Amino acid sequence: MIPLLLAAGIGGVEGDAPGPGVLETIWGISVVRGLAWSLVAALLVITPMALFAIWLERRLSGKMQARIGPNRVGPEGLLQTLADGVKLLGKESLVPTQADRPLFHAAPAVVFMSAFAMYAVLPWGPDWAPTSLAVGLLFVLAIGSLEAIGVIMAGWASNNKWALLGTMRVAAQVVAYEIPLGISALVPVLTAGTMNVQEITAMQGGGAWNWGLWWAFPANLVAFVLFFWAALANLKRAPFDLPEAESELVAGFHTEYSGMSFSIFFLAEYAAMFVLSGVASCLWLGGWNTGIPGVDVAGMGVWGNLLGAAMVAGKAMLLVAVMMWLRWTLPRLRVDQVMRLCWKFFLPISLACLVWAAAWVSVVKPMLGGNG
Amino acid sequence: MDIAGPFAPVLLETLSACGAGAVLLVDLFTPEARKSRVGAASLAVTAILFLAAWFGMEAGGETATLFGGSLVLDGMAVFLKRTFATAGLLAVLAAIRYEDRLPRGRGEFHFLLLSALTGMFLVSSVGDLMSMFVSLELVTLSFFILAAFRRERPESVEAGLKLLVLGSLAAAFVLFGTAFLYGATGDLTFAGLRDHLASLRGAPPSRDLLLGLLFVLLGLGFKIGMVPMQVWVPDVYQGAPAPVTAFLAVGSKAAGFALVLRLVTTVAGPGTKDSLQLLFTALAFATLFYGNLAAIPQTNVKRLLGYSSIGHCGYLLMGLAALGPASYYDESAAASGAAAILFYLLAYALTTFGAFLVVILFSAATGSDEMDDYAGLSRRSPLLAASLTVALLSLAGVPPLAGFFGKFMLMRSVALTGPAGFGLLVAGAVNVVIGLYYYLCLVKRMYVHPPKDASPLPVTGPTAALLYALTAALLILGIFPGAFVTLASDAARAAFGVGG
Amino acid sequence: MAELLGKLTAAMGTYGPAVLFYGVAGLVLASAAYAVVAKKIDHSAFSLMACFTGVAALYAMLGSDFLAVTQVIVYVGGIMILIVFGVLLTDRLPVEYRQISRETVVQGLAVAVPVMAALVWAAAGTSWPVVAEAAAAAAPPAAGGTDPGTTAAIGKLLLTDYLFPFEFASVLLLVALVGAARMARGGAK
Repeated sequence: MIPLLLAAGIGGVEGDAPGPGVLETIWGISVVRGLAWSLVAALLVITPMALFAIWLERRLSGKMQARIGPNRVGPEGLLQTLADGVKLLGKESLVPTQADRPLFHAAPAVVFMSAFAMYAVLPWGPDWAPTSLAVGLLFVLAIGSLEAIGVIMAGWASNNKWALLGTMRVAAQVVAYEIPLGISALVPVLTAGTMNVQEITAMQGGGAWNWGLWWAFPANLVAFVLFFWAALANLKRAPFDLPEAESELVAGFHTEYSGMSFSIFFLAEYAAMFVLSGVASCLWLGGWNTGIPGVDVAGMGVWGNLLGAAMVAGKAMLLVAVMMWLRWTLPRLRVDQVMRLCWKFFLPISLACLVWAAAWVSVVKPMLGGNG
Repeated sequence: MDIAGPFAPVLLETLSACGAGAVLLVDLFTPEARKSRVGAASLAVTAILFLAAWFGMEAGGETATLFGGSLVLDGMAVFLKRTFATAGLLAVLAAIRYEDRLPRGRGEFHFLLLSALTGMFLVSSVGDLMSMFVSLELVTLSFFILAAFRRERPESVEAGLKLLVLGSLAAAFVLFGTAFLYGATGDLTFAGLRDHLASLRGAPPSRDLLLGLLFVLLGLGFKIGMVPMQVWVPDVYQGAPAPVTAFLAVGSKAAGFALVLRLVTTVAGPGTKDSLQLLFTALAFATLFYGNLAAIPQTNVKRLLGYSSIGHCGYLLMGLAALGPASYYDESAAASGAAAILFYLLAYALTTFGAFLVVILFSAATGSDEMDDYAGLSRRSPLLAASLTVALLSLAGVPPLAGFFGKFMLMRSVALTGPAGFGLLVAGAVNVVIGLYYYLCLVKRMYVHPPKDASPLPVTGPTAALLYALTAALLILGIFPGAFVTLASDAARAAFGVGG
Repeated sequence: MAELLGKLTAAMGTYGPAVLFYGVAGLVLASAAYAVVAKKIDHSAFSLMACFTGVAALYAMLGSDFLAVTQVIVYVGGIMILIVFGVLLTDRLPVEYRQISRETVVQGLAVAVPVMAALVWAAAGTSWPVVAEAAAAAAPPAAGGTDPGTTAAIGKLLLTDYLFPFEFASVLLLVALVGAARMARGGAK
C-alpha cells in the first residue's frame, strides 16, 4: 500500500491548480485520483500488457527454438496466459512449514506493488499521464529498488537453500547495477534539465532526429544502451538471471512459491519489463511522439492521445521483444562476471556519459547557440 | 604573513586533504620493503601544515569568509588551527614510532590521520551547521577506523565499535538539534542564529531553539568526553592504538570544544546566558568529579589517562561556565574564559603527546600498559621516566609547567564571574588535589618502587630529541606563556566582540 | 446520490489529509517500534524498511518531493539492501535471539523518557508556522501548469550556498571507502 500512497502523495503535491487556501480539498481529490488511477491502471492497462508480454515471450521463444508455442486458446493462443492464470488460481498455495509466514506472504505483495507503482509516472499521451511528477524519473528508480527488497524478502522467508542463494545473488546484483542504472538515467535528465518524464517526452517532438537518443551525441545513445542492460539486470532477465537460474537453483528466490503467489511474481516481472521499457522509450525514443515530422500528437485531441498511447506501447513492446530475444540467445553470466561488468564497465562508461552530457550542456551547447 | 590571500580559510584544509590523497598514492607505488617512505611522506605533509599554520596565516587579520559564510577564518580559527597542526605533527611523529607494529596498511593509517586532521581544520572555521556536521563526521569517521585499526586485537575492535555506535548516537543528537535550530530560526548559519537571537532583544528564545541548542551541545559533549556522554572514553582510550589515543584525546576534544565555543559565542547573550551558565556549571561539576574520582583506582596507564581526560574536560567546561550570570555578565570575563580554553587546549595537546609518547615507547619495548610494570622506570630509562613525570605534573597543574598556567587562567576567569563562580572554584581546586594524587602514584611507582625487570630501555637519538623538545615546550609554555596568552585572548575577545 | 457523493468528496477534502497523515505516521511509529522489539533480526530489518518508506510518504505529504524520493533511494535502495545483506551473511540465529532484560528496558527508559519529555516540552511551547498553506495562498500555481518541485531549488543551493559541505561530503565518503576496505581486508595477509 505504501508505494501507492507514496505515488499518490507526491502526485498530490503537484495536483491540479489549487485555489488559494484549499490545499486540503486538492489533497483529498488528488489522493483519491491517484488511488483510482492506480486501480484502473492495474486492471485495464498493466495486466493486459503483462499477459500479452507473457504470450509474446512464449511465442517468440517457440519461434526461436523452431517450435510453435501456445496456439490453441483463443486466436493464436492469445488467451493461453489467461487460462493459465485461472488454472493457477485454483491451485493450492503452499507455504513451507519452516518458512517465515508473514514475510513469505508479504514478499509477493511488495514486488507486485513496486512494479505497478512505477506506472504512475509513465506518460501515455500529451494529456494522458497518471501523474506529472517533478521527480518522476527518480521515483521510478526509487520504487524499482523496493522491488529488490521484496525479492530478498521472498528468498529469505522461504527458508530454502536455493532461495537463499538466489537472494544473495539479488543483493549483490542490486548493489552493482543500481548505480549505472541511475547514472545513465541522469544523462537525459541533465540534457533536458528536468526529471519530469512527461516534460522530457514533450521535448522530443518533430522528427525522430529530435529524440533523446541523439541529444548530447553520443552521451545519450550510450546511456540508452547502458540503461537497457542495467534494466535487464534489474529485471533479473538473461543474461543476468542468476537469482533464479533454473539450471542451478531450481527457481532461485521463488522456488517455494506456488499457485497464485507464484503467478504474482511472474506477472510483476512482466509488468516491470514493460514499464521500464516504457520509461526508456519516453526518455530516449520519443515516448508518445511519432517521430514523423508533421504528425504531432499534441494537437490532435483524444485521437492524438490514443495514437500516443499506441506509440508508447509499441515502442515499449519492441524493447520488451528485444529483451526476450536476448534471453533466448545469450548464455547466463557468472556472478563475478556480472560484478565486473557492472562495476568495471557500466559504471565508468555511465560516468563518462554524464561528464560529457554536463560538458555538452555547459560548454558545447552555448557555443552552438543554444540549439544542441 | 598571509600566503593564501582570499583562500586562507581553506588553505590548510586543501593542503591536508591533498596530502592525505598523496600519502595513499605513495603507499600504492611503494614496494613492501620501503614502506617507511609512507611515514616520511605523511611527516612531510604535516610539517608543511605546521609551518603553514604557524607562519603562513595571519592571526590578527580581518575575519575572512568563503562559500557564503560556510567557512569563517577569524582569530579563534587561526589559533585552533595552529593547535591542530601541532597535534597532527606530533601524532604523525608518534605514529612513525608505532607503525612497525601495524601488520600492514601504513598508507591507510597515515591517510586516516591526515583526514582526521583535515576534519579538525574544518571544524575550527565552520560557519554553518551543515558544514559543522560534515566536518565533525569527518573527524569521527576517521577516528572510528583508526581506533579499530588493529583488527587482530579484540580491544581495538571494541574501541572502534564503541566509538562508532556512540558516535552515531551523538551525530543523531547533533542532527536532531540542527533540525530544531533550523526550524526555530529558518537559517543554518551561525550568523543567522546570532541575528535571530539579537532580534529577540533579550526575550528568552523559543523552546525549540533551546532544545535544539541542548541537543547540539549534548552531541558535541560526546566529542569532548563530557558527563553524561563520557562512557566511551576509558574503553576507547585503552583499546585504540596509542598514537590514535593521543590524537583522539587532543584532536577530538579540541574539535568538540572549538564547536562548543563557536556555538556559545554565537548564542551567548542577555536572553540565554543565565541558562548557559547554569548548564555549564552543572556539567563542569559532574565532569570534574566523575573523571578525577574514577581515575583513582585505575591500573592501566591508557585507561588512567582516559579518565583524567574526562577530568580535563571538566576544567575546560569551567571556562564556559565563566560566561557569568546575568547580573554579573561581563563580556571580558566570558572572553577570558574562552581565551583560557584556547590556551589550555594548546597546553593539553603538548602535554598529552608528551605522556603518550612515553606510553608508546614503553609498550613498544615491554608490550605492557599496566602501571605496575612502570615500577622502577627511572632506573631503566631516566629519560622516559623524567619525560613522563614532567608531562604528568603538567597535567596535574604543577607550576611552572604549561598545565599550571592553563588551569590558572581557567580559575581566574571563573573567579571573575563573582560569587556565582565560587563553588566551581572550590571544586576545581579540590580536583587539582585529587589529580595530583593519582598522577603522583604513577610517579612514585617510577621512582620509588624497585623494577621487576631491570633491563635498561634504550631511547634512540631522534626519539630522545623529540622527548626533550616536548618537555622543553611544556616548560616554555609554563614560564613564558605571554605570547600565546596574547594570541588566545585576542582570538577570544574578537569572537565575543570585545574591542581591544 | 450525487449529493451524498458531494458530501463524501467534501469530507475527504477536509479530513482526508489528516487521516492519511496520521495513518502513515502511526504506521511509521509502529514499524519503528517493531524494529526495536522484534525477536527475529530479519523482521527488524524489514520493519525498518517499512519505517523508512513511511517516512518518505510523510515527506511527500509535506511537499518535499525530492527528499521523499531520495529517502527511498538512499535508505530503501541502498542502506536496507546492505543491512539485509549483512543479515543474510549471519548464521540464522535461534528464534529468540534477542533477550530483552529488565535492565535494558530500565536503561532505555532512563534515556528515552527525558528525551521524550524534552521533545514534548519543546513541541508544546512552539508556535508552528504552516509554511505550505501560506505559500500556496501567496503564490497559487498557474492553472494547468505543473509544479516545478523542489529539486531545482535544492540543486542550486547545493552548488551555491552549501557548495562547501556538499563537496567535503565526498572527502567523507572517501574516508569511509578507505575504512571499509581496511576493515574488510583486515590485518592479515
